[in-house]
Amino acid sequence: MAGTLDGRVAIVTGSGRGIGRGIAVELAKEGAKVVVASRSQGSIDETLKLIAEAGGTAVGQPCDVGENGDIRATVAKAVDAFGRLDILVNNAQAFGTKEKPDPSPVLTPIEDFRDEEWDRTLLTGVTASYRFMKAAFPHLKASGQGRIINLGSQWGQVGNAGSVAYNAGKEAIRGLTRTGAREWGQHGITCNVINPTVETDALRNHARVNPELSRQSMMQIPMRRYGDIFKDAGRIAVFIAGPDAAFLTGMTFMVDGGHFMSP
Amino acid sequence: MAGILEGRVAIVTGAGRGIGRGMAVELAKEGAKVVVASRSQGSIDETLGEIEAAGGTATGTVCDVGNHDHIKATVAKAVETYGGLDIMINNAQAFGTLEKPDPSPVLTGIEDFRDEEWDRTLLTGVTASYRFMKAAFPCLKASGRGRVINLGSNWGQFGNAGSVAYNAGKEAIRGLTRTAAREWGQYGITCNVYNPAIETDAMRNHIKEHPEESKAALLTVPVRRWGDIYKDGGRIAVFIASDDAAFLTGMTFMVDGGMFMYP
Repeated sequence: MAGTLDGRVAIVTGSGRGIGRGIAVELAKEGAKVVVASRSQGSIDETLKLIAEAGGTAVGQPCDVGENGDIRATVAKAVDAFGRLDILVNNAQAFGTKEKPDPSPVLTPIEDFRDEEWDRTLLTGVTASYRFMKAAFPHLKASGQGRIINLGSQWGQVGNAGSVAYNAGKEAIRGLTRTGAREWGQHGITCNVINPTVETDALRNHARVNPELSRQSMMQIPMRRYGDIFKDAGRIAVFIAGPDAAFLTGMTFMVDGGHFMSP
Repeated sequence: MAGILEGRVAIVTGAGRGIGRGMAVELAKEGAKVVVASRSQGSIDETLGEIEAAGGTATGTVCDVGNHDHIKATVAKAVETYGGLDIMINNAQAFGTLEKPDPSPVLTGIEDFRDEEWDRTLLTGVTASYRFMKAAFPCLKASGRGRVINLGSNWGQFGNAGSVAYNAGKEAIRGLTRTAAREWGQYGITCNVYNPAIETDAMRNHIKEHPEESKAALLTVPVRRWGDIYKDGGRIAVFIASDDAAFLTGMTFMVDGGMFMYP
């Protein structure tokens, strides 16, 4: 039976694990050909294996989204391998510094925050998303049904203490995405944000390091669970990328079981 | 092929035309059994005819959402006819007064606003939605995958001049919906708001009364068109009602082609 994304080509960054993997696998299951971009060949291979087992089509592309050359090469890979590009999912985000990365934000007050961490966080988040969008634009325009999905975070909406760069960068992604939505709607390109509360290595690490905070957080979630990378994040991305969502743009999808409802 | 809403029962109010009709038809096409509720038997019959022509299952019930007995009777009709209720869509909204209804809000300054119109607007909008939700709750809880979709409006977010009751009522619907999302998530019930910019009789009437302003408004819609009641309005409601959206609650879906992106 045909998938809703048959004939489409997608790039998913940071898809070696977590939400990126969930999105890559579910897009592929619906018929999209996927470029699995990540820094680690090992994690790329694991995602490719899951896609192959599900009967999907994908290729891997090592990509550090902090490198402009890698960004351009990834877009070129999609076009070389699959002939087009319709769906861009900017999911990758680095924490810490290039020399000493972290698996999730290490809480540090603003006055002590490392400038190198500020730079790396913005570079790999909002700046990478912007650069990827520019590189992808000619292809998304040619597509006629372009889809950009950028990952934000409710940490940006709430302004969690200790995480100034991540928070600022994630809200910057919303400003970037709304502008893309406003400018590119006329070209049939929709641009939306997903703010996830989905169980990933980063979330699991954060829960391990901050157990009480995390337990309290869970009780704040109306649906009383974290999201699943495949059934929640992946399937919602399938919807946003598909034909039924052509009229949705500039939105922020709170994929978080009702955790954050303001405004 | 089985629809994704097979086995579900839905009530759609104001389903005799416009967005309500689009939603009722599209839910039915995906296998839901639909109670088509509206004030006019004639418009109910038209919607039923479309559903039947599409191979779906539905029944009609005459319902003025301003009448509490009608609300209770409509929920009872769903249970008697189809054995339960999974999906509650509060789409109906009256304009003007009971004695002299209007097809869309007649712009009037607050200081001159008719109290009867204020009362009727809130009664048929937020109060009706609240009453319907309470009446439906036992069934939605028993469902295990209950869905409440309440219609809001970007007029409420924006505060359009001349429309104080409609604006206030529509934002009240968001407060109502978030509360239910927070309280009922533990029962597997999601509650979301749906803010449309979709071509309906009400919109067409508004455009007729305010042609210049409406033409300018269309230019602010990034995708450069109003929504279609079936392909946009209906299909997006299908998604929200589906299992794929089980983790989305307390959200506001801006079904408006990017017209309104705040915040």
